[in-house]
Amino acid sequence: MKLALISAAAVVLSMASSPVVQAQEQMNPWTQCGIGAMIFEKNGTAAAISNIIWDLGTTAVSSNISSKESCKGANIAAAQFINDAIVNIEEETVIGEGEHLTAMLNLMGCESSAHQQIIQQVRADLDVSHKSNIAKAEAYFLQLDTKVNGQFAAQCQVI
Amino acid sequence: MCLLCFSISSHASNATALIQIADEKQLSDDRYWLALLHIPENSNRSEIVDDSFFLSDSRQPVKELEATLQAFFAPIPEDPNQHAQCRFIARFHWLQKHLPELTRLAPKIPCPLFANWSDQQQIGSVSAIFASGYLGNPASFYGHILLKFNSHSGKRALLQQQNLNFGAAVPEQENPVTYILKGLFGGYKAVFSYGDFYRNIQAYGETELRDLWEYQLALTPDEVSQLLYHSWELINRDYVYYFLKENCAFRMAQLLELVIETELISKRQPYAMPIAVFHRLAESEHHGKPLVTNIIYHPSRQQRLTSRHQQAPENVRQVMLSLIRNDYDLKLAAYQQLSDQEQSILLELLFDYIEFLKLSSDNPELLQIKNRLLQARLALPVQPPLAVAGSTDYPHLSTRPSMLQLAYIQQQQQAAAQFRFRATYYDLLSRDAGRAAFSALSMFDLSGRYFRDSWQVQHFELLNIENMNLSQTGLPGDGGWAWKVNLSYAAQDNQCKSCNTAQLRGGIGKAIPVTAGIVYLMQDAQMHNRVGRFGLLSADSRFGALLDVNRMWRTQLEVGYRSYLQSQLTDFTWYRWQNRFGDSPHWDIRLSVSQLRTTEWSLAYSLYW
Repeated sequence: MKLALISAAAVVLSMASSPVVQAQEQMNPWTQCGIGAMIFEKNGTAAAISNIIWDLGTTAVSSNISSKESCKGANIAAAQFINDAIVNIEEETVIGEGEHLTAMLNLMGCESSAHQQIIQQVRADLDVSHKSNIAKAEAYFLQLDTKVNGQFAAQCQVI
Repeated sequence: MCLLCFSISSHASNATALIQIADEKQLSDDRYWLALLHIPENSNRSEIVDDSFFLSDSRQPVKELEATLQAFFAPIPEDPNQHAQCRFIARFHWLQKHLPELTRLAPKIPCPLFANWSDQQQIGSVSAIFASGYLGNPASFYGHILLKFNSHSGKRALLQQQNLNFGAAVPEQENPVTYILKGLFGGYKAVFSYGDFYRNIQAYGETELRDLWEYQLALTPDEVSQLLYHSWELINRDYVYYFLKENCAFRMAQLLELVIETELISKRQPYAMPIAVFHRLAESEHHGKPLVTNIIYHPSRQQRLTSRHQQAPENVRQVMLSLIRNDYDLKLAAYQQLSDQEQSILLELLFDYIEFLKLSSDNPELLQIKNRLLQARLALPVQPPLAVAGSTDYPHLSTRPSMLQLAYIQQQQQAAAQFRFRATYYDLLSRDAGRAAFSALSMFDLSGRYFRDSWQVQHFELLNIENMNLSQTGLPGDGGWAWKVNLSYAAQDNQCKSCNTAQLRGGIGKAIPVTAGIVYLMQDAQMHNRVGRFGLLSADSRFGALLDVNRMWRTQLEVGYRSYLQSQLTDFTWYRWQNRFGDSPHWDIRLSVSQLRTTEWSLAYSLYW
């Protein structure tokens, strides 16, 4: 985990010194922010809540992710969401609609009028053969991120 | 520098002036101020045990009010979010209402963290959410309550809405005994916390297969803001946690009572249950109108499977079963003959089914199977999925959780009166609403009988759980063994006197749904403490049916054979026929006859609250 954060910091520093590279490099929250490996802050009681047994409050962890500045922001929130709900997202993508897709594209800052078109494109290139949910989530995000920052860049600047 | 000195001095004098006005108005005695500090009636001490929640050393209401006003005039720190105006937003707004000069005089502080959390305060409404009970985990039997802040910003979809949760902070790998003792006797801290709604959908609906029921509340914009402000103040503030009473139901009700005049949870009762809050919400009026405006059902994965399976065409259901029995071979002729639409319905049903199976199996093949199904669905055209049927089986329509019962007992020409109290929750005869059908969960169930001029304890059940674990779809893996656990002090049969014994009973069997009910076969084993008289063990083999004749009448007939091991007592055959009449959440009438060595009739009137 620490190694991941250190490497994330190194990547961020190198990106900060090279704006051109920054514009071209695609952020991978799984390798650079540790999504899929941790991910809630361990800051006292909030992270220790585990009501799964007592219930009277199920695992109610605050939704902050990694403390690195580069690992905050809308896309990282979307990556987190995809990681947590990839099973539903994948199902809804092959079906072609669903609440999870709406939330995901909102998080990516995409106008609702563009959602259907983006879903179609993601669906067309979707690879459902990955061997784990984390791998699925990572691949899904990277594919989506490419489209959102590429052909749908104009429709995905809402945030 | 001089300007700064003047400014500080000016702020200090403004604060002093406002403190004087607040004293004159006796604001520190105001019920709302005490509620903001979480000081209960007839107490001078806050229930919050977190130092960071207080600005004064003494924590007394008047001192806290003075310290709060002073803090509102403090210089802006490097991080404005740390300023008292941002940390104590509810206090600030309430004091602004009562001290109008505060708005003009206090420094203007931006609160970006709060603005982000509250979606720039675009929260249009608040919902209370009931997560149905979960018999797979003892501490989840009674369900759960959380709040949802509904943003009317188009940028936040349903799954992105902000939730407020309350729960105990329990260390990982806690010893179960320590866990129970600390939970019961205040050994844990508890906090309010927040998160997006999708996390709850994942945790409850997808993992624990619990339905969520969202009760939308008719609050005014000002009331919504008050809740939002105070919720922000409460996040991560420590309380002492008591599982039975000062739990999520108690704290969420307390929070809602900030803006709702109805008492949403009894402060006198020694236990607090989430469902009780929903009973009160559903029957409450607010500003002359029903408090609950709408109830939205968020079905669990299992309920989605059940609903879609019931709606699917018969041929699709048959092919689904064939596929399951043939390793999900999509080359199967029956599957290939289906239309695109039917194939889509079937594959989506299988998505639900596979995910349902994955919860009880680590078989990695399930992921591979799911991948094949996803690939097949990907090759079919886009079309809307089969809708999940709504439900009007709202949790608040269930029988109230606590019971008082008065019964007339007739046995062998002799009559007796019986008084019964049950703290919680429901039995096999209770009406099912918003919970597992034909199940029982009760705790602290005490019956006293007046017979031959004296009272005697007839029955005391500390715990009784019966889970019929029914299959809703008939598919392999759906449903399982029915089971029962019972810890009680009770008579062994109708005939014996002074023959109560402490006993632990466990049972296992199978229940099958039939029209309007179930039939079941169970094998129970009991361990008793009065070994000399009853032997250590006895067993009951029983066969029964539980049927809803109509909405007003549920009947249960059970026939069994009791055998004793290493005891002088003779074995015997027994039966029990019990009926519940009425479907009110507040009362019912029960008529029963049982034959356990001798016959006993009972007619009872039960009150629930």
